[in-house]
Amino acid sequence: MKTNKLLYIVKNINIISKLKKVGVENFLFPLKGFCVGFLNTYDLSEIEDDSFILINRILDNESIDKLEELLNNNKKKIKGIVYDDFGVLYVINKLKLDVITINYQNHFGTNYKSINENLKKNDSVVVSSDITYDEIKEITNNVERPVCIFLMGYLQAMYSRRTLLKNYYDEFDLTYENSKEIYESISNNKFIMVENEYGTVGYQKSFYNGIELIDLNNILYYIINPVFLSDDDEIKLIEDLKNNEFNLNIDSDTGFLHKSTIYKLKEVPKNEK
Amino acid sequence: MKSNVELLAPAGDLERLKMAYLYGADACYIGGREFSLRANAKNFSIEEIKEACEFAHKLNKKVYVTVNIVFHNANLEGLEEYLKKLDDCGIDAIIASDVIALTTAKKLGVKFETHLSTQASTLNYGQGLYYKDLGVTRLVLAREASKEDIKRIKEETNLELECFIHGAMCTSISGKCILSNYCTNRDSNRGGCAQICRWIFDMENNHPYSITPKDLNMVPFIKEMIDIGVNSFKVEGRMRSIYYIATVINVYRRIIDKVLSNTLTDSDCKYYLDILNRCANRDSTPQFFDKLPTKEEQYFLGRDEVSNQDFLGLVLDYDEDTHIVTIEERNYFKTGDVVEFFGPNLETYTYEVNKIYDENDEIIDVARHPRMIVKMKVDIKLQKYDMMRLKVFDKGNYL
Repeated sequence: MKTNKLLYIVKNINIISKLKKVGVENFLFPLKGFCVGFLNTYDLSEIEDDSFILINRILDNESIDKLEELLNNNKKKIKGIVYDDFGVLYVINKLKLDVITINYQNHFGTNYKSINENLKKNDSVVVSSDITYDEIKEITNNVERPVCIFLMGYLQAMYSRRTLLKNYYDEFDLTYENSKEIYESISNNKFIMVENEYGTVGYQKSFYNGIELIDLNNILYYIINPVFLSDDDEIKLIEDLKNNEFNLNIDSDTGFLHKSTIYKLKEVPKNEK
Repeated sequence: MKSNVELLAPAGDLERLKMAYLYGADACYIGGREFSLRANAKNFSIEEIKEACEFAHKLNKKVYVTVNIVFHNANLEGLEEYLKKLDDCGIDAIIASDVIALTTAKKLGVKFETHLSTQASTLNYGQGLYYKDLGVTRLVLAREASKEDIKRIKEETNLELECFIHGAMCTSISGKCILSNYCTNRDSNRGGCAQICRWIFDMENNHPYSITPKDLNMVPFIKEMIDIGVNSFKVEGRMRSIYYIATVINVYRRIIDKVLSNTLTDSDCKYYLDILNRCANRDSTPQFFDKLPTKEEQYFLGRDEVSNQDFLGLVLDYDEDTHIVTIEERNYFKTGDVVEFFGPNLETYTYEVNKIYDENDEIIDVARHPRMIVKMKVDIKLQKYDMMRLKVFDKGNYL
C-alpha cells in the first residue's frame, strides 16, 4: 500500500525521522492535556508543522476554554485535527481554523447514513472498528466523501473518567504502576489499562490487524496506533505494509471484522412488535 | 411538573410505568422493541406505547421513548417508519445519541421533541450547541458532569438539562465501553451490555481487580441541582421491580417537593438515604457532581449484594366500612411482624401484624406464598397500590 495514506499516531517522537525514511508522511500527535490512553502526549511546541493533532478526551467546559486559548495562540501550522468530542468542532469553527477536521467519535461511525450526516460538518469521519468487514465495506461504498479507517494497532475497549489504577493501588496500598495488564478469565481476554489525570483507557491487548481493509474505496487515511509496539516493530510494520504484508511476531487478531456482535439475544417474534 | 422540575422514572413495562406515575413521576422513559438499549428486556410494543401515552397524558404527564442504539447499516431499515409510528402514538420525545435518529426525526417533521442521550457523552457547552443546531431540545448530560459543568452548559446553551440522580453507574463514560463486545460478543452500544465492569479481573500478579462503581445517589444535592438549572431528575433502572421504582420515585418525589417548599431537613435526607440504599442492596453515593470519584466510590472485593425480602405486599383494595385491606403477598410475613405501609399519599404507617386472613376469610399465621391474597384489619385508610414492607428504619429515630 502507499504509505502516504497512513495517518500514524506518534508513540515516540524520537523515531519520527526513521518513520519518515520508511515512507510515513502524516503524523498524528496526541495533544498534551487533551488525550487519554497514551503514555506520551505532546505540546504544540513539540509537534512538527503540517501534522495532525489528536484530541480524544471527552472535554469539560474548562478544557474547551483551554483548547480555545491554546489554538488561538498557536503559531504552528496544523494540518488537521482528529477529535471525539463535538465541542472541539465548536472551537475550530469559532476560531475559523483552516484545518482538516476528522471526527473520530469512538465506537460510533457504525453506519453510512450517520457518517454522511457527520460529513456535512467535517472533512472526514473515522469509521468504527467495532463492526465487520462487510459493514465497513458497505459504509465505504456509500459515503459521500472519503473516510478514515483504523487499519492497525491497539484499540480502546473502554474509557473511564475514573482513575482506576490509582484507586486500586490506593485501596491495597501498593506501589503505583501505569500501563498494567488485566485478565478476564471467563472470556480469556486481556486488556492493558493506561491512566492519566483525565481518566483510564482499557486497550484490547491483542494487536488489531486490519490489513484486508487496504483495498477499500473512498479512504482518506488509514490510522495506525502503535502505542505498545517497540520502536523496531514500528519500523518493521511500515516496511511490511509497503508490501501489503503483516509479519510482526506479536499477538494479533482481526477484531470484529469477521465476528459480528450480537444485537439481540433473542429476536422478538414479528407479531409481537 | 412543578416549577419546571421534572422527576423522570424508568419503566420496563406498563405496570411499572403506571406505578411510577402513581408514586410521583412527572415523566417516564421507556424502550420500544426496536432501536433501544436494554435490547433484551421485554420493552413496549407500539400498542403499549400508545396506551402509555394515553394514560400519561390524562394525568398531564409525559412519555419519552429511547431510540438510543448506535445504528449499524442493517439497523437503518425501518427507522423512519418507526419514528412515524412513535409520532402517531403521541410520545413527547425520543432519547437518542446516534445522529441519524436525530436528523431523521427532524427531517420527518415529527411533533415530538428530540433529547440527546447520555450515550453521546456531553460534558461541555460546545457539544451542546452542536446538537442544539441539529434540533435537540434537551441534553441528557454524561454522568461525569460536575456542578460547574452543568451550570455553564445551562448558561451557554439554554437547553433543557436532564441529569441522572439515582441508580447504577457505568465505570466508563456511557457509549465509550465495548468490554461486553470483547468478552461476550454482545454489543454494548446496541443494548447488549453484559456489565463486564462488575466482573472480577486478574492483575498481572494474580491479584483480583474490580473496577465496579458504587451506585449513584444525589440526595444531598437536589437543591443545588435545581438552583443551577437542571430540569429533569432522572432515575436509572428500566429493568427494576415495581417495588424499587415505587420506593425510589416516592423518596425523590418527597425530596423535590420538600426542596421546593424549603422544608427538607438533614434528618429527612439521612432517613431517605437509608431507605434508598436498603432498596437497591448496594451502597450509593454522589459521584462526579462535587468532586472526582476516588477509591471511596468504587467496589474492589467482596461486594455483598444479597437480595432482601423487604417488599411484603401490594395493596389491592381497602374497605372503608370494615377497615379490611386486601393484599397481594410478595414476600413471607407472619403475625407479630412489624411492617409499614407506604404509598403515593402516605409516607409511612407502622403496623404490627395481628391477624391474617386468607382469601376464604380463614385465619392463618403466615403469608408464605408469593401472589397469595390475604386480608388484614388496618385502622388507617389505605389505597390501592400502596405497598407494605418490612419496617427496618424508624423515621422518628432520625429526628
